[in-house]
Amino acid sequence: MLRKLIKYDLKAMNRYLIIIHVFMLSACVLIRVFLTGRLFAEGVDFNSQKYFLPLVLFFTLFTILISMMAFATHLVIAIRFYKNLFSSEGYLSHTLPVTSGQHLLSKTISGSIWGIINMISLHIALFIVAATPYVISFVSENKAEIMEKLGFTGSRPSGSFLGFLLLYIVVCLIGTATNVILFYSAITIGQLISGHKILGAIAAYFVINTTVSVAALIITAYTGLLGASMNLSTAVDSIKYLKDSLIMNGIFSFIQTAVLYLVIYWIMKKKVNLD
Amino acid sequence: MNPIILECKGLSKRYANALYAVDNLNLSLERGQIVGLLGPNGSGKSTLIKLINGLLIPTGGTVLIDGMPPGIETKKIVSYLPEQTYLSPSMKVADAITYFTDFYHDFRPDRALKMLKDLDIDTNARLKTLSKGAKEKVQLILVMSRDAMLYILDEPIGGVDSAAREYILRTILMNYNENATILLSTHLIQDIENVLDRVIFLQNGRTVLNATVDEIRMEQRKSVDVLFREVYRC
Repeated sequence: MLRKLIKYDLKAMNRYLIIIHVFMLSACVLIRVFLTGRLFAEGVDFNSQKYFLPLVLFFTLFTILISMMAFATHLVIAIRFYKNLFSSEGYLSHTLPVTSGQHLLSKTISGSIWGIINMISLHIALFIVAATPYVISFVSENKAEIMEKLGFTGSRPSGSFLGFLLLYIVVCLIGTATNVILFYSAITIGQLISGHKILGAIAAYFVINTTVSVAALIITAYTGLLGASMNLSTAVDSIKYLKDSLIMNGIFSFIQTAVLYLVIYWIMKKKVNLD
Repeated sequence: MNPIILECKGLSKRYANALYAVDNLNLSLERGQIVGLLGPNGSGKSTLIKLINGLLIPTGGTVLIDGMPPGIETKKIVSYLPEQTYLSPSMKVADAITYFTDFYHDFRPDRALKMLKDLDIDTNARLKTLSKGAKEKVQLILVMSRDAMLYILDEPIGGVDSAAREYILRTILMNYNENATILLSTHLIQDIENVLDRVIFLQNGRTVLNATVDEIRMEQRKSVDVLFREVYRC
């Protein structure tokens, strides 16, 4: 039954999210052709006033684009969760011979799958716009120096690049599930506020986010990471700080996801009323 | 086989800061009957139906379907038609049939397809393109195409014209087996009186009458409709 639920969840989200992602990647190709392909090229002086405006335009356009795509993706995932479980469609979903736990797991897996696709697309988008032939040849020619400056090689290396990359991927994956669960928890808590369910969900989102941010700040200060961030003098220190931050972030996100998942499960099983 | 398909013991449901929608209700339904759940708006019919389907958490008491509280096992044997459209509007009729086939082992797609053909409903049509009445017919066909033990139909004839009403009632009668029970909520008593075996009158979340149609006719010498008007006179 779980596989069937996931199949239908993905099917419902695919048609919107495929369009959104194809649009975004196409826009990135246009940015590459008309902007970055000309900007990040041989003989371009980045200090020149002439390139200032196109550079600002590129960063602005790209930031807006990827932010919109990430927002739209999470919005579609959240709407699917709300509509399928708590709107009129919920009358069918909740009378299927499946448990609340299977519903939640299916939504978490399907939401996370699209969250991961979104994350990969963001990196592909960045590659499309930034990896011009000039940038690629610059990186490959200066690879050894870049790695040394970043602190992955040299006399005092702070760890292997592959290890760092793996850590980054793992934390990204956990973060994707955390984002999905954050939206689901806000929507589920909102269902408890009879008559103002959507408003309740928005309020719950901000309350959870603020609580998590305060908790993260306290933990960062307690573990000494906050002090370290204010005392970064070398690239080696920066990479070490980044690594520690990623580990801390991964552990914190994992705990946050687990706690919120259990809260959603409990509410869905014991408290939710479809009225 | 347990002769009782549905049992409510001291069942209560109170919404936030409101009166009890269902108040200490005791009810027992045997298999093989068509039962009318009757009452004016706000009498607790829909709330009771939602409690039986596990869509609401009771404030007190218990509800048992075939001896089990609402859960996976009861959802396998209960076929529920809610008052509202519960299929995604973007679904095609054929998609809805596939969906029911995927999730309900007792769903009979051939039966559904035959009924859709009888009513000239295009299986390739998206639900959002169908009229309100056609959508209600599709939902009823899906629900009645299951070989369930308990059919719960919340206002199945409320939003359709009289011709469609006749077809729907015929569909209900033709598509349930003699061991199954149909619990049918409506306020259009005249239209369904002839198909009912038993009626339950609800008022303020409580049972005010639970009798067979024959008992009402023989003992009170009244039709269900007349008795209903007397009980609920404003």
